[in-house]
Amino acid sequence: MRVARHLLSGTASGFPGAEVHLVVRDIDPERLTGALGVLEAAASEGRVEVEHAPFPEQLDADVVVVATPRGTQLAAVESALAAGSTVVLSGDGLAETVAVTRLADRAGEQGVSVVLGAGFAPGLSGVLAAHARSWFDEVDEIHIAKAGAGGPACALVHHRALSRLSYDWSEGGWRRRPGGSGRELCWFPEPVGPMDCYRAALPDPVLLHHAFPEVGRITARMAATRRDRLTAPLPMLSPPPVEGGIGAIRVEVRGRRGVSQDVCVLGVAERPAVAAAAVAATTVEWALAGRLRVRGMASLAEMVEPTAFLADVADRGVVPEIFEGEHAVV
Amino acid sequence: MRMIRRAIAALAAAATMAAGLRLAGGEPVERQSGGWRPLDGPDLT
Repeated sequence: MRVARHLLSGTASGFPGAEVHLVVRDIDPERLTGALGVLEAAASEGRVEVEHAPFPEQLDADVVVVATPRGTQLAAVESALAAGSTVVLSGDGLAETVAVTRLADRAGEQGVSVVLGAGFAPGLSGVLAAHARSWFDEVDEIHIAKAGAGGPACALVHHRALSRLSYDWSEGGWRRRPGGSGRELCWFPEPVGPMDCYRAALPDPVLLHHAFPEVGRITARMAATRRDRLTAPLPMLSPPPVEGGIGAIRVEVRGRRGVSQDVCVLGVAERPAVAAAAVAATTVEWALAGRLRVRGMASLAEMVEPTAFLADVADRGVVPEIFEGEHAVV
Repeated sequence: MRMIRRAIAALAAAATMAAGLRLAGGEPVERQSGGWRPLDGPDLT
């Protein structure tokens, strides 16, 4: 919904929102009714259509944004690939992301861009890592941390991620460790501030390793409370909120600048759903403008030029921040 | 009964050891300073 609003409104950088024609698909009729209500003005002009399941087999779109719940994304990507559309996937589940990567050969053969992890984290986190990397001569480590959930589906993925194996890249191999272990205090941009973060089944290391194969250590952690860790192996006890509160991402890059070792920390504090929508909409804008770098499957960090992309995302109200203090690069 | 007594003794010994470690502590973590600022201007060029 937010992606649709972003796309219809256009941007200051010249994206023609008035020329966009959107088809919103959902299996939930209530959500579709809500979408029509929110996008009423554009719908009355005939720029927005809604389609309820079972969806028409014919898919005629330049770009397909897959922002569906866990378990439905692989089929949606397959269907978009069959139609030859560029795909923007904003999923954050490890298993599903890995399942989608198995379609990489097909995307490459077709010459269709499939952007993996076009959300808050993975997504903006990878672009921040790519941006920070440009300040180093050599990068040794990338560490991602995230806090908060975008909505009920996202909260459920996070809940399960804490009880599953995490995959960190370490010196030439994948290290599997239990989710919920490896506590580390991470300082996010205000107002989120410091939070304890733990290993979890997150796709960030997989996508970042693909983007930066030369980096020796890549880890990802997620903020969690004692209750989150205790209840992680159980079904979700309390229903997640409709919309998550403020969240944040933090990207720490360590490496060599000249003759000295240095560290750079970038972050963003925003409601995860808002940030993810801004990132997905900007990715669509870049896809329509032919600015994506890869014809095939790749993560967002590989697909876009990071500096210009971050500036475009900032135009949509999601402003990256840098930590300035001891050992800071800038 | 003897098993329960042993379990209680083990728990008490673990608690005493943990309390001792916590009170004795290690080297204090060096205080760090700094803050966040928006990334703009030359940082985004």
